[in-house]
Amino acid sequence: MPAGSNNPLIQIHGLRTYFYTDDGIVRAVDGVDLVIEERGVLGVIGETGSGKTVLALSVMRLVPPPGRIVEGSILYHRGNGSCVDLALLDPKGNVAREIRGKHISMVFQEPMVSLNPVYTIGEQIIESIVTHQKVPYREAREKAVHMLEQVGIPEPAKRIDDYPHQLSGGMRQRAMIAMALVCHPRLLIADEPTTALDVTVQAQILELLKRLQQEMDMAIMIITHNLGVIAEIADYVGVMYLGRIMEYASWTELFENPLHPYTQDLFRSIPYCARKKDRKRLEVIKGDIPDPYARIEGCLYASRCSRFSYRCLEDPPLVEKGDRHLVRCWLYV
Amino acid sequence: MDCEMLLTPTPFEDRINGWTDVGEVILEVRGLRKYFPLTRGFWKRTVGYIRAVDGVSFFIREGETLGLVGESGCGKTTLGKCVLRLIEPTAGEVWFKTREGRRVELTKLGLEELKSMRREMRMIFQDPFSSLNPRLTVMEIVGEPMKIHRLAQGRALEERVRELLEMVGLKAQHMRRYPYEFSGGQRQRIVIARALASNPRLIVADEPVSALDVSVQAQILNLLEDLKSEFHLTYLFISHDLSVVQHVSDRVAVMYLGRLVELGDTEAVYFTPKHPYTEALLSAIPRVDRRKKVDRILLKGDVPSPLHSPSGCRFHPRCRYAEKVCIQEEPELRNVGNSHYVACHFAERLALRGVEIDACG
Repeated sequence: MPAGSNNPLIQIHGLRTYFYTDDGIVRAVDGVDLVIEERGVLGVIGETGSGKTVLALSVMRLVPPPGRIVEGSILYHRGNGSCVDLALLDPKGNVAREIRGKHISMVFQEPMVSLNPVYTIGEQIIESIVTHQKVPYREAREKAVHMLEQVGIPEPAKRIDDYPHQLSGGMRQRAMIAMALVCHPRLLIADEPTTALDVTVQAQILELLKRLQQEMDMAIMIITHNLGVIAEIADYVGVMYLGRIMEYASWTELFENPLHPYTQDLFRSIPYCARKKDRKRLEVIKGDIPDPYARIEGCLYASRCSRFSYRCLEDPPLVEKGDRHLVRCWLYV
Repeated sequence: MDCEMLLTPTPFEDRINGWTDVGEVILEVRGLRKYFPLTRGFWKRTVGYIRAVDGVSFFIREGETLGLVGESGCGKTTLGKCVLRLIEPTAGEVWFKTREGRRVELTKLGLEELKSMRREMRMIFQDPFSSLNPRLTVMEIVGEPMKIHRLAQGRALEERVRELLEMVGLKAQHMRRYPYEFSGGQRQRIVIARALASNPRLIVADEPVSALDVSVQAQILNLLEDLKSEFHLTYLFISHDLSVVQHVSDRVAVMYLGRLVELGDTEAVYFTPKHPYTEALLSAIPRVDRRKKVDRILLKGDVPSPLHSPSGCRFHPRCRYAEKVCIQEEPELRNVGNSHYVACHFAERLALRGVEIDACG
């Protein structure tokens, strides 16, 4: 558990979410400890199959069957001093329903898939308001227009009656964000919010998220495979690999002093902007991400690690190196 | 409305012959256009044209990688497909130099001739999940081009497939497997093996690494680089990822709404851009190194629809340097020195920012 967090909003402890499929058990999230601070921005980096989306869905209590949380706790600190363990809630119960959407909400990767094509964006935003607040329709509509304006949609009073297909990719993602934020949640989970977008639009959306985070005093958990996106926005970063957090540190610390071999390899494998003469061949992480059904003993990265030693056959503990910098590797024990 | 009427010649097309220091050109594209008719109603009446590619000219030297960048919907993919005539261009010329040194105009070729020309030009598609036929084995997928072009059969074919698979880093014994049994990176290797099967000289790679993970992306980029030097390939590398393009390309073309706005050496385009759109695009690259503060230029609004391109310079509604002349006159792509081509009225006057060098790696 990352120590020294003074204002935790969410504390995830030993979380395991497994999928019981016909072909075997997929350990999508396999013992994750993380803290999301109030008004903080936590980034989670991971490749395909690292379990980062399932982690987000676990916090939302939206894990689809055959998946379920088998162990661990997700403590949510309500503002009034009380504390709820989200992992123990009935996902369809009243408490979970109240928290989801009102306290914690989520923006998904592909706005075209996650918006309902047969309702206007206005109807979808208003639905979220009416579910959580006792307000008359007219007022809900005003709120929706206001929210659309806040996320930078031009002519919000007109666009509110548009169907998702009438909006461009960037505008759709803005509409998604408006829908997620309309009830002023304390935590916004953004799962690859810019992956389907162009660089110029991506920059706009990241600016927007940063601005809204300040204005609305909320925390953000941003999940992406793009190191650049994390660098833009996150204060603290967890590097996820096969369902585990391999390293956790502030972005500056992680960037200047990556400790885990996986983090180091990841940084070395992306192309940087360099002069032609300085252009180097990209370094490659050998092999592919292991089969999700395989049960790996010891360190999960051992099969691809360049600094493999016999100790790696045993599971390394998460150790603290320096100021709130945690790493799960035998090199630092 | 007749499509021909829309084809007003631009002065640039006449000037392209004045291109100097061209060297050994493998591909030359002149005034390429692709207009898709937009139909409405039951009778499919044509109500307008989407100008996906609207007068693009460039050349690629032999053994060179030309990067083509632009936002989605700017016509990059259409351009790539038109070059290979996978879709028929509406107008323009595509000159290709064959292995024997003959220069042929692809758009004038009959189907038979085109087919034989296709041996030398291949395409790699973006998504390795949809570009492989799930009902064929790897052997059939990779062997197909060789069968079509009658390059090998039977034993020899199998031997060649084996060789190709090993070349791209796959195990030859996997040739009886089906695509679903492979990961994304492995599938992209199959796509590459298939593209190489007919000994091509020009490869149009359309977003070859966009669907892949960071760690796998590096593997594929290195593979493409190795194959290039081993087989003297020429790439037209299409991507929206500016860091990837800068890593692989010798020269870069920047496309906006169906037109090239800038074309030049990678160094020149990235470090001393001359077009405001390029500047904005470069400043939008998410930077890993946070110590370097970048002043981000946020473009207003979205890319306009290619159905109603803005008057004058197509970029003017979003350009922060736009003046009156930009609304009225369309700038032509012109050489501003050192074969750096820019389509901007103020290319010489503006002092634009390029990318900053990342100090790491």
